[in-house]
Amino acid sequence: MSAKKEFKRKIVLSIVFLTVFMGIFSFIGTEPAYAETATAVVSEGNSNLQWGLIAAAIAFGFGAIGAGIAIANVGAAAMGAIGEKPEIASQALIFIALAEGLVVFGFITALMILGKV
Amino acid sequence: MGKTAVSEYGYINAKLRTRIGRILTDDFKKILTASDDLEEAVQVLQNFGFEKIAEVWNSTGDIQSVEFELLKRHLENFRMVMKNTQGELKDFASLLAIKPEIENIKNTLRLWYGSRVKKRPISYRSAFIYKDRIFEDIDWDALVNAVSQEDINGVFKNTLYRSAFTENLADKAGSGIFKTEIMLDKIYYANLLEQSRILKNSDYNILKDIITIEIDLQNISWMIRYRHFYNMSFMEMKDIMIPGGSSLQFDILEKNEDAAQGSITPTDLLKKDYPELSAFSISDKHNFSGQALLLEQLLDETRKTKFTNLLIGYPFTVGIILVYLFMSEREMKYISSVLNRKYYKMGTRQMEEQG
Repeated sequence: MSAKKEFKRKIVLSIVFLTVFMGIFSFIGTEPAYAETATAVVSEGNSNLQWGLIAAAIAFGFGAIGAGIAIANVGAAAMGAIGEKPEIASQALIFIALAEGLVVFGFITALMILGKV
Repeated sequence: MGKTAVSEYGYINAKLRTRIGRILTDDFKKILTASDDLEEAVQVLQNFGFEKIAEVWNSTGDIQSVEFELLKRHLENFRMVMKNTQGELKDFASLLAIKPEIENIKNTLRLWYGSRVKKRPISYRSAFIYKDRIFEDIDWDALVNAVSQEDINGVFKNTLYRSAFTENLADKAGSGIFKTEIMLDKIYYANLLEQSRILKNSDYNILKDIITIEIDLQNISWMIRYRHFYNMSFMEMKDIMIPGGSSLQFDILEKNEDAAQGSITPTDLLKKDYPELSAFSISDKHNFSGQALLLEQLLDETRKTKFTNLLIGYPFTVGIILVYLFMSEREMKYISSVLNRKYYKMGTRQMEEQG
């Protein structure tokens, strides 16, 4: 039970830190744009680029984290089964590849976002 | 990072399920029982992954050595489960290993009893006592060679089992060591149910469900032995039953002491918790042994159904460990029984008839 609480606490902390860091970096990144007396068009362009990059990073990052968690579990189970019955290795790899697909989806999404900015 | 059910059971679940898939397959049973003689049966075992068993048979030609090797293999499964689990689950798996250790203590005590009380030679059989550590650190040689109750108490002084050895076993020439054996069973179940509270609620409930049937089976088995060998009344039996099983309805007997001597059956005692038993009408209510054996079979079937449900249900629970260890024990008993029948030259048809 305490392990579950600890896990929840770490997840909440990670999300809070992520949000805070994103806020700070976006603020630092946008400050010069506001500070300078450049035209409003340039400022708006920078802001779009900035959010686009963040969105692409999130798409790829979360995809990779999700795939990591999935592969950890699927891989462990696959190793358990393969250890007992090596002939099922090829079947087990299919399930690992399915989990691996998550990060590919994230990567494609990131590329699509980058193509728009 | 904290553990989820998937990360906790993912590896062990896959490993044990793969092993379960190989335990007592129809092919294996068919080929093993169809083998012409013991030599051929051992060859079948070799082809199905029991190379060590075949090796022991080939080098000794002794059926008891083969049985002993099967026991070692079964105990190795407990170690494997412990090795491949962590934290609370590992602690729980070690609690389950107390059961084979208690069986080993009982076997050793029976040998000791045969030697010290009944004055039978035991030197040959004492070679087949498992002496490696299972759960507690027990000096098996000291136990089998004990000359007094103090020696026995000394062996169990710092173990979980010390409270089972309060009576002088050497005085039990007439009644055997049943009571000590029951005390050991009581210790196992009480300790398991108490210590397993470290598990998650869902896991604990699965365990409780299975253990309840196991205790009922054990109690029925004790009832048969006490009734059959010592003609003990139900009221006397009430005190020695292992707690934690179904609520055996001894109150029926308390209301009518006369009934206890004959017409009340074990089936009557358990009906409340197993309503399916009501469907069975038993013609001879005075045939206690027949009743109890039928009940034992029914409870065994109920347990099998529960294990099947565990296997087809949500996979990430402690159930997979219980099922695997149960099946491992069943496999050991099955092979041992087939080999013995081959040894005593029992035909295939006879074996099939006797299950």
